[in-house]
Amino acid sequence: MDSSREHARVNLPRVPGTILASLATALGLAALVCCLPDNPYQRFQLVDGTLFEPLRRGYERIHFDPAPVDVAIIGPSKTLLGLSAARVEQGLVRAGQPAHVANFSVPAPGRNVEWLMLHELYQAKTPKVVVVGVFDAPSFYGHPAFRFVAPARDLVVQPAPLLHNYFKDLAYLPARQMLLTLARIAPGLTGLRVTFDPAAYARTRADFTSGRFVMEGKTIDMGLTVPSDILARQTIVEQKPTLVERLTRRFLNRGDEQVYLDQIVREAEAHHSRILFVFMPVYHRQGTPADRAWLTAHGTLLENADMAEHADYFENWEHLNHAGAVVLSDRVARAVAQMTPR
Amino acid sequence: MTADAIRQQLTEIFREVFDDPALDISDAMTAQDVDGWDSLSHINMILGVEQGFGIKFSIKDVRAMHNVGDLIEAIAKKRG
Amino acid sequence: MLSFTSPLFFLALALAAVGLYTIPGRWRAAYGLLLSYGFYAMVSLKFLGLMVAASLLAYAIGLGIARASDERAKLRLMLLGIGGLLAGIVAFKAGGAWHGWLLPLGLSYYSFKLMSYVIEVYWDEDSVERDLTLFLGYPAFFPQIISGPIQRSAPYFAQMRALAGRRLDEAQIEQGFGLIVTGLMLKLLIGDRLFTLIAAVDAAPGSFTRAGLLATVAGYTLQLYADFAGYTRIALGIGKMLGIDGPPNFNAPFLATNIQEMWRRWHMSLTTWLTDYLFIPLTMTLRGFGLAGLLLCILINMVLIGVWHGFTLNYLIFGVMHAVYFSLTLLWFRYVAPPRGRKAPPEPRLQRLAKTGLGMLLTFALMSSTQIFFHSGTFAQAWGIVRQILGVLPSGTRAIGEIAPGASATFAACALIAAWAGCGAPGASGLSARIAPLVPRWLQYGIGLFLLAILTPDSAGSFVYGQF
Repeated sequence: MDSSREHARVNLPRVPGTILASLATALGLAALVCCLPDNPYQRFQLVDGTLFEPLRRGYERIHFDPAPVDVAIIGPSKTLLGLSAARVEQGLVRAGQPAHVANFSVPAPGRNVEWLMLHELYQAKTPKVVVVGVFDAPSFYGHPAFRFVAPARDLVVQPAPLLHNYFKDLAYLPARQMLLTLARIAPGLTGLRVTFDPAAYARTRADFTSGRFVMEGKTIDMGLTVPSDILARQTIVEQKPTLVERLTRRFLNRGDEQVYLDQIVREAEAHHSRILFVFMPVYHRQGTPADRAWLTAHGTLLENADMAEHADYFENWEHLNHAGAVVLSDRVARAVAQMTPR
Repeated sequence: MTADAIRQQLTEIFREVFDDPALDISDAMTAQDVDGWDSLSHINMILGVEQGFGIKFSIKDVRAMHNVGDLIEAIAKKRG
Repeated sequence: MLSFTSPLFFLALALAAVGLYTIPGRWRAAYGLLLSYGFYAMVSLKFLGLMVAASLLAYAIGLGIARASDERAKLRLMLLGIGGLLAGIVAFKAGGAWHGWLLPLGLSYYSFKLMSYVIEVYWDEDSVERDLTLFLGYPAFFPQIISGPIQRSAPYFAQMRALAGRRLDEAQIEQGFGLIVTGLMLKLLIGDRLFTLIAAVDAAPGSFTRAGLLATVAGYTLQLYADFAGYTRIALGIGKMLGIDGPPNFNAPFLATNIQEMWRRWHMSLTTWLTDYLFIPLTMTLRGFGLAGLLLCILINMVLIGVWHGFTLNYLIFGVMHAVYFSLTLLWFRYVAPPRGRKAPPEPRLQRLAKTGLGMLLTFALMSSTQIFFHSGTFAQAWGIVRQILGVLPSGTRAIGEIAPGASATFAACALIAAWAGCGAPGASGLSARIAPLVPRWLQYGIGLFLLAILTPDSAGSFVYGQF
């Protein structure tokens, strides 16, 4: 009994070796798979049938639509519903500066995917003005669709270390590259097209500022005016950052919004595009953009604080309806016209 | 009561409950070893033993019995 | 929240395990208790208090029974303990089903563990555990707290005691790792994949063909097996890596040729618990009522298995259906077709195979019929499915293959693998041993983990089938 007490310490030479070898094998193979090439068009089709389908349409607009893009709009659902590319185009024509406008916004906040769309855009087109929707409660997290559409390289190497979604996004990468490799070999099995289908492109909704459509299971009617008391009662969802998130933001990176907004600005400036920051109105909230000085240093800021009290401009507490979109689009057109030299 | 006497009477009870006139029991025998031993015959066997020996088992007693040998011991204890 | 399928959890587990391996043996029980309480506290500090209170109650009752002099006092204490623990379960289950209360993590599991302890001490005072640290670790043991298995007190205490004085068994640790890898594969690659496809059918069963719906109902059983057996494997594997061997929950359930046998192979830790602590005592108590008494015991037992999962109509129906099937099986084997005795001449092989095969299929079909109620969220949903299968409600034209590209192939492959696994995965360990010279164990595990990395359905699944 006494000797067994002495040997109560454990000596394990073999088992950790087995376990570590297994893990190393799995990691090594997964890393290899992450290096497999993919077809970007098929990659962007991964979001088909989901809330984030505008990303695929945006890709098609960039690479398969010969029309140029002079003014690009990026942002979350606020700008998707709140800015009409067609209306801005009309406004520019009226100002004597016709231009092609395209809206690349996608639902759900997350600057990384907005930067990605801009980056993709610059590969095929030369926009002169980039319109960026900003708001006062930016997201700390990256976009949920980033891991589907971003190239492997941009998932592995990010502008700042340990951004919030980093490991979660990376965990999906091996599976995604396997799927995309299968898609290149046998597209029929995966339902991911190799060739551009103009009919599907035409069918996909491009303008969310009018009409009725379903988003996240809810039917949205852009033509409706919502009474002010209902708007006032809608919950304002604000996420409190956890301790780990606060620590990370303090010491490692500044969060998705700051890091990728920085990237957006760099990208635009490198291509000599002008930036218009549009502060998206929220009902009954006189918010101010988080980094006013920084925004005005890099571009023009359109504030729209006066729209916040007009209940008839809002479809819900944070999204404009058709009437509001028309007003905002006109303002944006005027601002863009002033920014661009004749 | 001697173990042999118990065993004799028990064999009669088993033959009756399991409807097998040729059934022989051994100390190591368990439920798996007897054809047709299901929940119902188990209860009938307990009842048969209680009535045949004039004793009453508690749940504690039944729990402790894993084979026929344990059963014989339990009967012997109850009968004194 | 640390889920058994998150990589972060396993990182923490690795660190915790290394701690366990290196500290002196006599501290292991306390260390284990700290881990389990820490784990629980991350979920809910308030409910941790509840679990501690329940544990202390059972501990005190145990000491009281051991010290009590007369039978009546022992009985009263035992009933007090059982009553208190049951009251807790009933209160939260009822509150959960009828008022939407949040259920304390692992309430059913740790309460059942504590109840079994109290009853065991009542039946045999030597089962009492006086070491408080050792005792508290029993209900809280974190690998078993989320979804079981329900381990008995005696083997747990014995193993924990042994851990205080001996080295950890290397082979056991490696077995544990293997169980975790295969469990993750079964749950994530098979179970979760099947679930996504099944959910698509559940969303609109009326739009699918009758054949598709039948396949989906079979899928309910297969998916539940893959998910639960996979999860149990992971739990048992984690336990093994920490030096505790737990009881199995499954023993090739799809090999069962009748419902009675199936319940001896499915969710075994729960069914043996109910058999030992409810069914046998109940049959003893009602032994004067013969067959009627036995059938009543079966009904009570099965209904309790059902509502143990939740106080809803569907779970009740699930229990009643099993009571009916179980009773009919009992009566069948007693009065209609008693199984051939040991002394009877062996029957021809073909006949035996046919009977076995038919028995397996029938048992699977009966089990799946009860799964319609077990799986469905509401009675209306379950009843709708039953009526559609019977042809009373019209079916649609969609096939499973139309859910998503490759859906029918995925469904078929996952169903086959789940069925194979549920039959005991015949050939798996043999194959693993045979290829070991060329593909050593660590490489096999590594490939398994790699498959997990590339095949695990992402939460993209929830996006993919979303309506735009």
